[in-house]
Amino acid sequence: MKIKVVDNPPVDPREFDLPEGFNEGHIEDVVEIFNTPLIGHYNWDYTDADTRIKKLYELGKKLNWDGSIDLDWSKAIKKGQAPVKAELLARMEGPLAALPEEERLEYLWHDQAWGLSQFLHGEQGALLVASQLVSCAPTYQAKLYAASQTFDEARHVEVFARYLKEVSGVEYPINKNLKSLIDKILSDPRWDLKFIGMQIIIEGLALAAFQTTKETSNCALLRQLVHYVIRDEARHVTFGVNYLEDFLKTLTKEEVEDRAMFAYEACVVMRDRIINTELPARWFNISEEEVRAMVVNDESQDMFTNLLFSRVMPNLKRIGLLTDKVLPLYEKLNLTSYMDSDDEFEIEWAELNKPLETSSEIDQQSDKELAAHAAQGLF
Amino acid sequence: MLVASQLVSCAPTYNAKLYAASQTFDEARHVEVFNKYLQERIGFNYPVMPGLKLLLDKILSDPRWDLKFIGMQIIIEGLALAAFERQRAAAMDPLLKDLFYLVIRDEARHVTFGVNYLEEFVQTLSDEEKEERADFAYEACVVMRNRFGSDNVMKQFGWNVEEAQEVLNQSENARLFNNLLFAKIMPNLKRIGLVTEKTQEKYAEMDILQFQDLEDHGNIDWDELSQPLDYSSKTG
Repeated sequence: MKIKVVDNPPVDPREFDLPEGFNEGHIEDVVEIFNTPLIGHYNWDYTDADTRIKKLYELGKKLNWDGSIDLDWSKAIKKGQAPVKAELLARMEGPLAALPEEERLEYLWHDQAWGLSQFLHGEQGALLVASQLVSCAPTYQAKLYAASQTFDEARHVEVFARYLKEVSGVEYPINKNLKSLIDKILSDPRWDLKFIGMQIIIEGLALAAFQTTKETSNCALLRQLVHYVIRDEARHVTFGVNYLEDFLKTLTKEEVEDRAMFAYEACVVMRDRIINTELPARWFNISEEEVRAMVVNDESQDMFTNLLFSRVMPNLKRIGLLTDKVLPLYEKLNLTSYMDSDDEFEIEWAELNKPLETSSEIDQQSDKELAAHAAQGLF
Repeated sequence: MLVASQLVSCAPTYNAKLYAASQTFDEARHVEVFNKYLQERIGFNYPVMPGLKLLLDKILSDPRWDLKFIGMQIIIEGLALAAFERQRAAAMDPLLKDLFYLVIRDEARHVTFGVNYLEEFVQTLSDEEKEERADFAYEACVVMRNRFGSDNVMKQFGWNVEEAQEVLNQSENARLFNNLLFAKIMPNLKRIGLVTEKTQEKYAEMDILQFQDLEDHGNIDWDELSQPLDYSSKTG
């Protein structure tokens, strides 16, 4: 067992040119230490009732897919094929459109690998936070639920890591803003704050980003993979909203304002910054600021940013964190488009309870959803 | 479940993190079924016994992850395996037999993981660090020995707890259980390198050193571990 301790995450992408006969002897795990003041709770009251939390736990058990069995890895696209659907390629403009075809294809593969790498690192963050929640959550049902979520997140890490290694062939390090948010969440002693950061903000953004991948990807395997991940995440966000809504009611007004401010600051970190500026800067040899300026001024980008926050905003409102104090701040950020949509308010049990869809059902959904978004001027 | 979940954060390697996550979920399902059995089939439950609580407190609050790991995967899981196997053999209720069968299948995987992972990890420690871990394991064994009388039950029936504990300790039943218990723990401690020269003598005084040469859980029988679940035929 070889373990290398580093102070910061790596900065360079990693290519998977693994040697012939790669085995555990070749592995050197690279670790970065984080410390967390974990305040745990034993729970000694095991009485159980048929609550929403319990039902979500039961669903988690029932819909436990296995990435090695339930995903068809033979359906992965090959390097010569475009990673995004043809209709999106046709609409491409700017410096990317000007690239020779071969280089554009290579860029798109790297762009996708960058995005999937952030999913991967985000999932590891979710794995760590969910596992801490098993200790921290004060109630019996929430502990069991968090344990089932911990296992879900492990399977997500597993499938994204495998996709990057076997299909993309390259993996990018964690984006520094995502890293700073995860650091903050992991090391804060208040469990509900971990929960707000991870379950509402990071998972909420991830859900929207996964949805985009499902719509735009040209790879049947990846569409199926993210769809199964989405099925799990939908359960996690539902749990987060329902549990936090109850919990935040037990806090004082001042404590609630603290949480509202934290959520707002997390949104500031994530807005504009979850867009991949690192790769274009590297590729086209311009500064990240220049890339950001191009992206932020783009109207469709603004719609896209709001789409990414389409799950976050109504949920923050629902759990009571869009207070009078922070609401004007969100308005300034121009993030309130989806605030009043009530997507997640009523739990759609029938939806959560559906058996896992087949690959071809997922492909049909993907085309339909892409067409609907394209009609709104997105992508 | 609490310890396994902490290992997700603490374990330094990628595979161990994923593994610990799967174990966390296993433990949640175990909590769920034991709780359901107690509530629906028996109708009451007892609080945690002091010896077990002491050990859990120590493991949960120690900052050294490998110590949590040793305490949990080797000592407490060893205890669980011994107790579950005995209970399964003694149970009359076919549901309870099935329940134990399924839980034991998971626990056998957990112990195997613990032994294999710790065997590699302990090799990376200095002699001094190793000795610290060996002492901890020894102390945990002392706590486990003869501490597993049910003082609540004794009180419930109006017995003097100390006297009853003494009778229990001298009983054939306690001797058999201790044998079963340390037959699970000692070979694994030896395998991971924690029966050191120093602790060897102490184990000999406890009269449990001889168990170290029984078969450990380090040799993986993949066929056994990957057998499909077949509990209906195993209840006999």
